[in-house]
Amino acid sequence: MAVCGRIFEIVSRRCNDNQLVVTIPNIGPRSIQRLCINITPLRKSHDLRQFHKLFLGHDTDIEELFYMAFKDEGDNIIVVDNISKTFPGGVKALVDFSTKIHRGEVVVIIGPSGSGKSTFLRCLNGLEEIDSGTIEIDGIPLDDNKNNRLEIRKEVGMVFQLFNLFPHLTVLENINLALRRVRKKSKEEAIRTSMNLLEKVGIAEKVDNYPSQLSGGQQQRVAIARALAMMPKIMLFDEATSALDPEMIGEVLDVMKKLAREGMTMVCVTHEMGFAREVSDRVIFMEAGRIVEVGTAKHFFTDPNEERTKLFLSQIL
Amino acid sequence: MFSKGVCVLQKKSRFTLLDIVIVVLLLGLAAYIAYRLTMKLNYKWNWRIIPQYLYFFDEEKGRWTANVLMQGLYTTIRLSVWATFLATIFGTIAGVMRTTPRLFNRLVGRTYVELIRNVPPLVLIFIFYFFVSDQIMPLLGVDEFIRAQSETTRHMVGFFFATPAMLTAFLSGVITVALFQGAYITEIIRAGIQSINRGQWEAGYTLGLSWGQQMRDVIMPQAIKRVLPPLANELINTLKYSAIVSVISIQELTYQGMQVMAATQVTIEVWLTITAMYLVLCLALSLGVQWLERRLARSET
Ligand SMILES: Nc1ncnc2c1ncn2[C@@H]1O[C@H](COP(=O)(O)OP(=O)(O)OP(=O)(O)O)[C@@H](O)[C@H]1O
Ligand SMILES: [Mg+2]
Repeated sequence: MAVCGRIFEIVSRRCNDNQLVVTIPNIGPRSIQRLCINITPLRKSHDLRQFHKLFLGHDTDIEELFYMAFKDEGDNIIVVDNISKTFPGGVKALVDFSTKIHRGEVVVIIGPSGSGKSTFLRCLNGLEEIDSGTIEIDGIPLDDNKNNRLEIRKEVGMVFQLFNLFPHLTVLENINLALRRVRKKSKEEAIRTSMNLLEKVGIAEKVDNYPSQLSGGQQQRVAIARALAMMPKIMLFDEATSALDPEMIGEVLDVMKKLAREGMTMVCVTHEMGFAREVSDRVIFMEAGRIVEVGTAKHFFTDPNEERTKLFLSQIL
Repeated sequence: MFSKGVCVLQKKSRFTLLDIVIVVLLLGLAAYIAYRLTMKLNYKWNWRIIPQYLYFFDEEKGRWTANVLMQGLYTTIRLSVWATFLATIFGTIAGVMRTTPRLFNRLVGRTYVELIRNVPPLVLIFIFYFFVSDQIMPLLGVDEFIRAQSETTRHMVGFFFATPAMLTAFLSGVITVALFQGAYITEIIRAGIQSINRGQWEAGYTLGLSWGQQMRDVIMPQAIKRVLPPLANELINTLKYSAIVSVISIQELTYQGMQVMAATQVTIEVWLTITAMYLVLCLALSLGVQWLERRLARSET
């Protein structure tokens, strides 16, 4: 859904500068001439003057606009600089990999099997050690310092392909565990938070069930709630829907989309191109541990630059 | 969710002709040996002497009382239960140490296991025994402590452990067997911990749980459930291995057997009786373990 047009004026700012209302007169019916744009990710840099200069009066694709805005402006919550990772067997999973991810950005990573997508995600929270390069999460360097590591583990939530729920604990206990042990919440408080989250992912009625009593989709939604309970600033999704039956993929994607709209910073490895098109700000295509191409979802689906990208997309679409 | 490829081996519950032939042949062989033993062997069977060593009628107290063989059996049970209990503690500590990220801990656990597994048990028994009973026990002052206790306390100790006179020897025996069995339990615990999917550690890690919290709240509860049957099995093993402490004069079943044999000279009857006593006890426990396994297997799904 590309929205193109000349931004005519910035009508107003509302909600603590979180939203920008602009008018684009030369498109569609009047109702959509006024567009409300979420600029949460831009808020910290809040360089609205620059925003005016860049886009006012130019023919602008709103999606592209945001991609450009994100590309070099804004508040980097993840800074990955030149990291490499070679597994003991000699497999080079990541080779001089660099990227920056902004607060509130939703990044989708695609690529063939074995290209290092999972390894990249797992390096971001220290599940996998990097051989060289640096990673900084919200200003905290991911290094040997134990406190830094713990801080990062608290700030970065992760959802796995196979859910990894704790089978000996009920749904409620699964979510409560870290709240009680890590966030040191009282029992009542933990239960309240957990119930809210379960409400949000739509399985409040399953609180006292064990994971084995839930469907795959429900288990994955519990896993998302469990990660969210820690109030992370970043969520990593490693093929969160790949192990699910087709009829359950939707319910999990819906939760992820909701999260994206709320402004969560998300890095998702997924084969769900519909998801990428609908909510992602940026798509990274990687192969053999390297970035091959970066762009908006729209860019990937209309005219990718690289032959490799075209070939890959033709295989999965 | 996943299509599980279930492969069920059909169990045949009926005997085939071959089975019957084999059973008949074996029975024939047994009958022949029994015949040789009773008729041809120059051995006078004397089964009537055995029961009084199990129970005898105490004229003074006017009631039936357990005699040496039964007392030996009780001692064996007490010894095994305490030894297994202690061994589980040793084994859990060492087993967890064997899976810690710290090399030093792993080495300590490993040394314990390798040391015990690569030395003949009998030799270990002597080493532990002389070390434990000659050095450790006097150091702890167990003897004086017990003598200072009231009548009822001593009675309780006698019931759960051993009579004051035998206490030091009994405790040495327990610790010796426990150290020995602990090495095997270490390996069971380690295998249990390592059998837990890596994803469980990873989930705990990403939630910010410390290593200890992951171990206590996530890994151990699952691992313990898995190792419960092999642990219960170790109780049976302990019962069997406990016979070895007869060499350090602990009056358990095997030791008492030797005493009775020396006093009466009825060798085969005594040992057959003792075999039966061990067999009944271990078989009953083994059935219990099977039941446990089935229950846990059912609750897994
Ligand atoms: N623990 C490990 N030890 C050795 N090699 C590994 C390990 N984990 C991953 N690799 C290798 O590193 C490379 C990248 O793996 P990774 O799991 O990151 O790929 P991926 O892009 O996530 O693939 P997929 O789409 O199949 O999940 C692969 O060649 C893989 O075999
Ligand atoms: Mg992967």
